Amino acid sequence: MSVKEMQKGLAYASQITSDRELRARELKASGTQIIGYFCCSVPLEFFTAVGIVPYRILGNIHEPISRADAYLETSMCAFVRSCLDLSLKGKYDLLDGMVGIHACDSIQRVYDVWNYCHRSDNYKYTHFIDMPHVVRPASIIFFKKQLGFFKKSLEVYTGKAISDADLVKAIQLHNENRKLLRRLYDLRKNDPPLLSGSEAVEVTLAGMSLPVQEYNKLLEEVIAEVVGRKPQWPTGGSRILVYGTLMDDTTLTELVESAGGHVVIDDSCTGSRTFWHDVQITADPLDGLAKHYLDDIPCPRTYRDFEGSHRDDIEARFRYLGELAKDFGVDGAILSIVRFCDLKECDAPDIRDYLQGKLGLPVLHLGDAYDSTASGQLKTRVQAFLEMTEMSRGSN
Amino acid sequence: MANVPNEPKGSKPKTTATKSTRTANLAYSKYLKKMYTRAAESAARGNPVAWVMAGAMADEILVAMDIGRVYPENFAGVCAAKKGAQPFLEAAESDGFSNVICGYARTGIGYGRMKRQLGAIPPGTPDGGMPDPAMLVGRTTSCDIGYKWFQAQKRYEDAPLHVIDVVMPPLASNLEEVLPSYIEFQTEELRAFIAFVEKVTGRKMDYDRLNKVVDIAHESIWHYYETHKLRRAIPCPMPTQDHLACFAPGFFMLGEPETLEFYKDLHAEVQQRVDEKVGVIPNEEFRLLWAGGLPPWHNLGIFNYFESLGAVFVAETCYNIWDPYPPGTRGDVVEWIARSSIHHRTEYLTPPRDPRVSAGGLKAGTFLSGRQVSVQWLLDKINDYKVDGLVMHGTMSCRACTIGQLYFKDTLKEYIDLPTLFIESDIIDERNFSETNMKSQIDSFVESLANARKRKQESQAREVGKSGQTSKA
Ligand code: SF4
Ligand code: SF4
Repeated sequence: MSVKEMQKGLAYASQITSDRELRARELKASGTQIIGYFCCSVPLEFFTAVGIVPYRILGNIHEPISRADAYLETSMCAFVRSCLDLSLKGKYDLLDGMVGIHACDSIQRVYDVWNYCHRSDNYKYTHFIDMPHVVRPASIIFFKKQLGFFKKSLEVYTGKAISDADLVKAIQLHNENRKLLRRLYDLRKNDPPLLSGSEAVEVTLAGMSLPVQEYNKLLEEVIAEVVGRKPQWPTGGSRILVYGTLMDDTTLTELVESAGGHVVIDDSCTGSRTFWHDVQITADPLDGLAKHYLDDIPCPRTYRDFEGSHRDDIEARFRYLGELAKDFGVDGAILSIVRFCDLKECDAPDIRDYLQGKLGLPVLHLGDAYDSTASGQLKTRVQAFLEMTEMSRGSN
Repeated sequence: MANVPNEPKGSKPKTTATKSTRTANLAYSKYLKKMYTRAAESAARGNPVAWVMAGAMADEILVAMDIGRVYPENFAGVCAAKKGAQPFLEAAESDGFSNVICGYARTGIGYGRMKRQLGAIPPGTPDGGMPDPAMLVGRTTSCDIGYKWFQAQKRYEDAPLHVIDVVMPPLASNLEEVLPSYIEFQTEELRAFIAFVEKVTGRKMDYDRLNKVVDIAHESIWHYYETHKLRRAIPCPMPTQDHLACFAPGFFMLGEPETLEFYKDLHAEVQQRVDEKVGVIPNEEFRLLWAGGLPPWHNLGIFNYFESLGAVFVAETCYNIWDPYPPGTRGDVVEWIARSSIHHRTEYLTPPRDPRVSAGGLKAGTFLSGRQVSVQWLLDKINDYKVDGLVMHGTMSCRACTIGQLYFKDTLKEYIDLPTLFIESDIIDERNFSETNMKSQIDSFVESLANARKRKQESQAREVGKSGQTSKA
């Protein structure tokens, strides 16, 4: 019996999250290629179209960084350093190749270092996708061309032509996945939420090492299970939005939960950013893919032109956060930003002002050292913040 | 609202380096300083002034449209060198900006914040500060800060922002295949920028004028590029601390006639020093490459300390001037600027020539000082400039120029074994800087250079001895 048949729903998601290779190893043994990638800007549809399983590179805050110190300076994004560290300790040995992308400075720069560190693994496939930073008609055309180079490289590697029909089918599968994830997230709108923040993290992470078809099936199981179970928590806990780099661990959600609150929605690159919008199916599927991956994901790495006052600019850039806060009945927001992430740190004061000033939400700005040893101090700060959130709720 | 931090203490002693060439000594006093006074005068006359990020490829366009320019990166460097950056750093941090984002950005943001709070340029600001911008011009190449900084700066400046996407083919790409897409997009980006300036100022671009400005810029770059080649001479006629002054007119005043005059003078002076065998120091013992990272602007005197131990910096990987793109190919001038930008960004991707580099199939490279650089490019530099050792400067706040240093040291070791010194501080922030520690690191490094030389000489002597025995036999 394969691992896939042993467990179902939330239990299976949890199992996969704690041993990310569980299913991937089986697939690899049966001849499926597993290719690593960083960042939610990599268009997964291309892998699906050629039957490759994309395997997201994640870090581990509980594993002290030791071996990466020889290759990556300590002033680099702590998450990326953790990823390389894990790979040097053998956690990514199952990869057949690697795809890099020009997302942010750290993700861009780790690509060569990663391949250098893994030169003895003899990757069969590596590719780097260049990605513009601005959203303009010319940049979408440019990005579409870069996606064309990516597609061609996969065709050369697999010896299979990727037809428009293959891509459309892959887009449909991934859109189905996005729809299911949004449906799952909707279950957090209730009071108490039907799905906890920690469970949501596990379910989103589980999908990052599975073929999309299997993940869709898992999501259907999870949704049915969650809808069918009794409420798990008392009503009235503080409802928190987490804006952050990534949620590849349940430490923060658990801290919020242990203080009587719930993380009910996130804006992070392992969470809602990856599935909030569908890819439009266009006559040339590359058009829809280029538009989606460049323009639909609200990552601070992408710059959109704007005319008007700074106040209007903030409104335009962060309105989506306001909408999430309203839809999910949020009482307070935590900005959890990985140390040395220039992109998010540059946006943080604007986001704070928008959430606090415009929406009247209490905001806690946490520097995330990507290191679990600081969790004692973190616990105190989160507890104090939840108390404050409750008080401010009471006064409203 | 947080308190306005203390006034910058502009009267504190400077910590600049002693330079070797006469021209380098004039770079700041005769040229760069003018950038600020001219911009202030221009703004007072109602002429628009742009705040520009270096590397935005906007220089010639702005000059041709008579837009005043200041470069906040340079301003931050000047503040640090004059010990006036600290209050600005604190002002930015007290508004919630992390203390590890780029020191230049924090200086500019803090300056903007204090200026907004006071309703005027903070008293004591070095060089009279920067006049209010009519536009902010960001760029995406080199680092994310190049556009995120100005997006954040808009908290304090009521000026429109335009970000120019400056693209750079990745090392791993097949250049022949991808180049047309880069040139096409870069050209469109520059046209979009011209349209933006036209809209903001109501002026029209005069393309004949732009062509003339590009000519001046091109000739200036040519002179500087040739000057750098002269630094291969033994003894080296011009050290890195001179470069750190001389790159500035090219980066911050490109396209102006005085800049051309400056580089012509520098070229002639350095040529004369080579002809007369005038070196940076009387006894040049060791030749060093500043091989990664930006300099500690707050303590440039450290370069002179190396010299006091007989070591001269003959080349560097930061603020490099590029191989001028041939003007003969000029058709459409905007497309030419785009081509020249791509040319500048691909010359560092030098394909492997060293047999050991190509034999291993290793085209390894990464970002050094914000540009993607191949191992071959660095090896060429080491050979051409006869380098004995490398110094890399890791900074807490500039990831763009720090990431890749360890990796390069490791990769280079496969081809050449050179003593390497890693120093750590920051470009601007000197809160954790210890000159004593750095000096003792430098002392041991220079000792290791001497030991490496001794070992090399001994092994050469053994080789000669061996071949002498063989020929006798
Ligand atoms: S946390 Fe920031 S720097 Fe790190 S990978 Fe994500 S976007 Fe890049
Ligand atoms: S390259 Fe470094 S110093 Fe320059 S703007 Fe970017 S982050 Fe700042």
